[in-house]
Amino acid sequence: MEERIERYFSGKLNERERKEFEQQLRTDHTLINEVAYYIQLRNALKQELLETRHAEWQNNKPPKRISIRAVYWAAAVLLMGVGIGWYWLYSPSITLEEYANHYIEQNFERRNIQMGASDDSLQMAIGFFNKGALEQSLAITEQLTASHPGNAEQLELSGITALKMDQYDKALTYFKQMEQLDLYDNPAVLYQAITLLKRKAPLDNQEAEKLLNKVINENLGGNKLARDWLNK
Amino acid sequence: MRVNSRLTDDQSIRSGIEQGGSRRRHFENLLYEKYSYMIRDGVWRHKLSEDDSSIAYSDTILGVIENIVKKQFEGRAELKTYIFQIFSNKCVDLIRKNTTKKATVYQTDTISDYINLLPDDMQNAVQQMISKHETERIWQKLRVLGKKCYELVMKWNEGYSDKEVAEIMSFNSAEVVKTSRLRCLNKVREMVKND
Repeated sequence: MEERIERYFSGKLNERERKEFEQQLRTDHTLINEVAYYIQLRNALKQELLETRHAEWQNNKPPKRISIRAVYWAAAVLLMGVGIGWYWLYSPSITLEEYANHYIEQNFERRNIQMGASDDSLQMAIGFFNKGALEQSLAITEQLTASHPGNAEQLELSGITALKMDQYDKALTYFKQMEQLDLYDNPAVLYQAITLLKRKAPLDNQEAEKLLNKVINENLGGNKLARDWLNK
Repeated sequence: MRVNSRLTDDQSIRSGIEQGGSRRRHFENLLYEKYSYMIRDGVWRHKLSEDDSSIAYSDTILGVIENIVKKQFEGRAELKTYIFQIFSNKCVDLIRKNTTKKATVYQTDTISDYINLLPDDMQNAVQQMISKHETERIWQKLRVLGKKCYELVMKWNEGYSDKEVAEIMSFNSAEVVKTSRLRCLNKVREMVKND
């Protein structure tokens, strides 16, 4: 095999030698054959190298070990799991009173005014309630309730207004009256529980819990909420 | 090969391969082991079998070693990035070959690399003289060479200088290595001719 071919492909021929080689390649069929053989030899050698080195690397492959990275990941997942478990088991759970406060913030801030509603006085009371004028609102609803004791909306608004004014006993009275009404989805018992939770008199908490159980057992208004609060 | 390659940084591996000699193989093995986790990547990302992915990885490492030896890896990119890029390309090539012609799966790109070095007007003429059959015959003959001849030819193929080979294989001089190698290559040629 011509040494020139090796030197040509490895770029070791000088400019003159390279030009001579290429010129000869254009006319000399034997040299073309030699170059073709050289390339095929190189290809065969490369394949042989791949085959032997690959086999060697495979044979020397260390037994599968758990990588450090995998261990770190496993440890991280385990710690996270322990943390979550600890949180669920030992973290201070939300108290019923906190649930009640949240409910009041979410539901007792504003009441809907019904435009064109016939009962103008009730709408006026709602208007006062929404503006924060609780005393005016309660004064109106109390008057209305005295004249029409069976109106659920008036009782509800009276109870809620009283509750927001920290007049818990009065609120309880209205909610108990509301409980007597035959409504499709009556939240009066839930409201009583909330009021007791806010009043915080001795045994109020236990009593509130009983009322929440009643909501659940009798499928009263707010029973889904009561289940969540009692974690049932 | 059971060494802790994580403790060996890329620069040390590269220098070890560049310095050559009898220690070169040790650093090549370190390089292979250090990034061998990429084989899993070939399985997951490219949906190759573990065998195919590991061959693509071996081929990649051999290519990288060759480039380091020939000083064609300039270190502009990190060695890891460089290896990953070549490996990804080889995986894609392998998928393409797998879906076309299984027999050519492990065909390397050597032929086109050499053909491209020829003048444009001569590439076709040489290409026409190349046949897969001839390559396979050469390959078979390499395997029936005597041990010493085989090692001489393979060391030359891996880019070891004659001086290095003389030291590794205990020859008297680089000149003796060169003469012996040429004799071995001619022997292969004769065997192919007479086949």
